Amino acid sequence: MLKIGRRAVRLPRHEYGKDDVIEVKTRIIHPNHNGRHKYEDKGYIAQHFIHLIEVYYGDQLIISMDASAGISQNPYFTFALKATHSAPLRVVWKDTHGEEYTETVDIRV
Amino acid sequence: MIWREAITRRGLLGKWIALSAVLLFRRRVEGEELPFELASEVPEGRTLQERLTPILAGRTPRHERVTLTMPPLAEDGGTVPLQLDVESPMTDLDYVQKLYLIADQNPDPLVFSASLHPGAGSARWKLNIRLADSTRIRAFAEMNNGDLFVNEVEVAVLVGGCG
Amino acid sequence: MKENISRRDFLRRSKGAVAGVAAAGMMGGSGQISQGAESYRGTPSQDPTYHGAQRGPAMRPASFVIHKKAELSEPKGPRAVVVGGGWGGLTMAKHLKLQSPEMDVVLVETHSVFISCPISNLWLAGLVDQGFITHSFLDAAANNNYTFLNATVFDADRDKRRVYTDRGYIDYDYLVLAPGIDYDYDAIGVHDLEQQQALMSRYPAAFKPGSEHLTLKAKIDNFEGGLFALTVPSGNYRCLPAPYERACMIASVFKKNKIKGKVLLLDHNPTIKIKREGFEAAFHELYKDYLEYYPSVSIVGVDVEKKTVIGEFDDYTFDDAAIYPRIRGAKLIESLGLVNKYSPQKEAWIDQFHSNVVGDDRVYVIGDSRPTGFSKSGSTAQEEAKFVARVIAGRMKGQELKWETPYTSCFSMVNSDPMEAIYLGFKYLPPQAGITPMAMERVVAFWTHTGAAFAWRDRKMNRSEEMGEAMLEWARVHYNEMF
Ligand SMILES: Cc1cc2nc3c(=O)[nH]c(=O)nc-3n(C[C@H](O)[C@H](O)[C@H](O)COP(=O)(O)OP(=O)(O)OC[C@H]3O[C@@H](n4cnc5c(N)ncnc54)[C@H](O)[C@@H]3O)c2cc1C
Repeated sequence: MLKIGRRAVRLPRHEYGKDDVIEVKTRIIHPNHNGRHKYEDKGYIAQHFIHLIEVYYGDQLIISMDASAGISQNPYFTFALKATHSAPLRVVWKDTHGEEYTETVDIRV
Repeated sequence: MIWREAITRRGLLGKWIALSAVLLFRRRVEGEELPFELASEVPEGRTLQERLTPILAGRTPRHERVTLTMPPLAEDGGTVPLQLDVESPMTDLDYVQKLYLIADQNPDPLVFSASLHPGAGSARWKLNIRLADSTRIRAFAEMNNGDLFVNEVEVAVLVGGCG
Repeated sequence: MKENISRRDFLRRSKGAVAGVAAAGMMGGSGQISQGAESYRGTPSQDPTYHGAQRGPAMRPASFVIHKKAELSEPKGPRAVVVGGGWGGLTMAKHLKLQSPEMDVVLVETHSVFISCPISNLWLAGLVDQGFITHSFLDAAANNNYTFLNATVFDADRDKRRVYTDRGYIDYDYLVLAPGIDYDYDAIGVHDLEQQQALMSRYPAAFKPGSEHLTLKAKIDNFEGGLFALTVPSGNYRCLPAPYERACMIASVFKKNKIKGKVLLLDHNPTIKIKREGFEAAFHELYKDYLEYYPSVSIVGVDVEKKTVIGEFDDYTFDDAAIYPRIRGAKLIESLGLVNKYSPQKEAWIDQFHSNVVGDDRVYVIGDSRPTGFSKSGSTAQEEAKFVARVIAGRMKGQELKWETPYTSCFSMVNSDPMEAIYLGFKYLPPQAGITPMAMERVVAFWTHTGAAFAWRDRKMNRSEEMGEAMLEWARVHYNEMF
């Protein structure tokens, strides 16, 4: 079974060179409860979702997304990146319970 | 049997089974630890106007440079794929500074707002979003010089298929 | 769309017809047909492939079946042809006859034996024997006073009201198409035909009745250990709970026989798509050591040689598998030119209130080839067939029926020792309820011709032996509606 917070950042399977625009795929296992689903007659499943996704290329913050619970369960986010230099690519997810998850991959050009 | 009761509208036996099954279920969840917290109310919604006003900030967006691609029919409102492309050189002088996604009919229409740095080198994203109902979706891109662009699509959500 | 078909020139298209028959795997049948010159009733001069005396009848290509009448006795009343002897078609044939006893009903089906998909998961785990899910089309026809024709339909001419089979054509007054589904391997990134065929024969989905199930059963019986992969596709696939039920049943075999094996359940969806609480409880409480569930696995390819499912994020290597790709409406719907162009699963273009092809009240589509949001289940197909049989009977008398919701009754067996099941029953909202007005014509066009959502439901997610027994009782009653 997949636990909450299990995450993946994937670079292309093929070779890429300097200044190539590559597709970076990210996903985190998270229920992303939006607070609107009833649990029997006991109430509603409380909000619990990823509210912030940040992407750092080297030390530079290149993407910062404030998300609502309108993102699907197991948030999936893919973005195009210009591979200008070799540096670590770090993705950070933060959820409404204060948990923080990080995953780093190396961009090599 | 329950399915027969519903079909034939008779059968006391069916009612009895339905009742005992419910009682059993109650007993089992009582005192059991749930993998989530419970709330007594749903979170407050937001109006479309409330979300649009700060994005527009008095500007009229132009229908250029942004391409939003979504299926016209979403088979499952829980995960609707979308692709967002913004035409931009993404240089220090000319880049996409902000991206916003609005789903008009969602309880909170603002799906996300995001900031970009030219270091990304490109503005092409893919995400899966939730749609509560058939709706118009708008993607706004704000450039570093303050220009605002938009693209809109309509998506019909085929409700169903979810237990 | 109607023009497309009505203007077809069958003589010029005879090559296509041969291809159609060949594609349907009936080349063996063509030899049979051309043997007896007596059975050829067409006029030779109409047949462009007929070259007089230079060629004996045995050389005649299969295309000649388009000029030959199928060998059926003359109808004594209006003739209804039902295509597809599955859950929808069999119920339809029986109920057409019940509603309109004067009707002459012919059921055309490719297979000569009926094997039921529902309950097949129980059979995989040895809970029922093969006889329980296997039935004779002949019994169905004899018990319910219609004719069974073991043949494959490959074309139709709606102007002439004629349907073409590999055993000759049949003229109809009413045509009901219930051909079920086909697989869409392209959607899971398997495009190459050779790869598709390899995947289809080595790791069949077993979501269409017949040999696929026999292959899967043998795989499970012979499994020595390791990972057994099952996949759950995207979209409104056939029988939403069945992949999860199957995972439980296979895991129960491993558990019972103490096989060092695990079911690897790779789900395209972010969570269990239906009856989640019931399945989740079974996965955790019964099969913790025998089942691994992975959500949000979007498949981009399958390497048959390396026994690997290639996901967008991770690869999953297996020892054996049943790969369920995305589904689509049966290819027959497409070859008849009846696809709703807005349907993401290539389903039929029908009036959602009465199930007739738009603009043609003589042709109906029921079962899993319909484009609405109805659950693709046997019980839905049966309820729908009963309603549409009444629609046709009504229309013969000049009456129009109001739309009625089917009731979907859906059991899933989750435990085999003891036999315990869970249950979900639901009805649908009337077509068009809850539609948001759309600015775009295309969306409106799609939505107003499909669309159905749950209106009411009944849930029994706490597995129990009562539900287990009820499931078998359900099967008996539903088989009885067909045979
Ligand atoms: C493993 C499994 C478990 C399931 N469990 C349940 C369950 O518990 N309850 C439930 O309600 N449903 C269940 N279902 C779903 C159910 O089997 C289908 O929804 C149902 O069979 C649909 O009926 P149909 O008539 O549309 O298609 P089918 O039953 O598939 O029938 C279509 C028929 O058309 C024939 N055909 C196709 N093309 C042609 C042609 N050109 N010429 C002649 N014949 C043709 C095919 O050979 C086939 O026999 C299950 C399905 C599977 C696979």
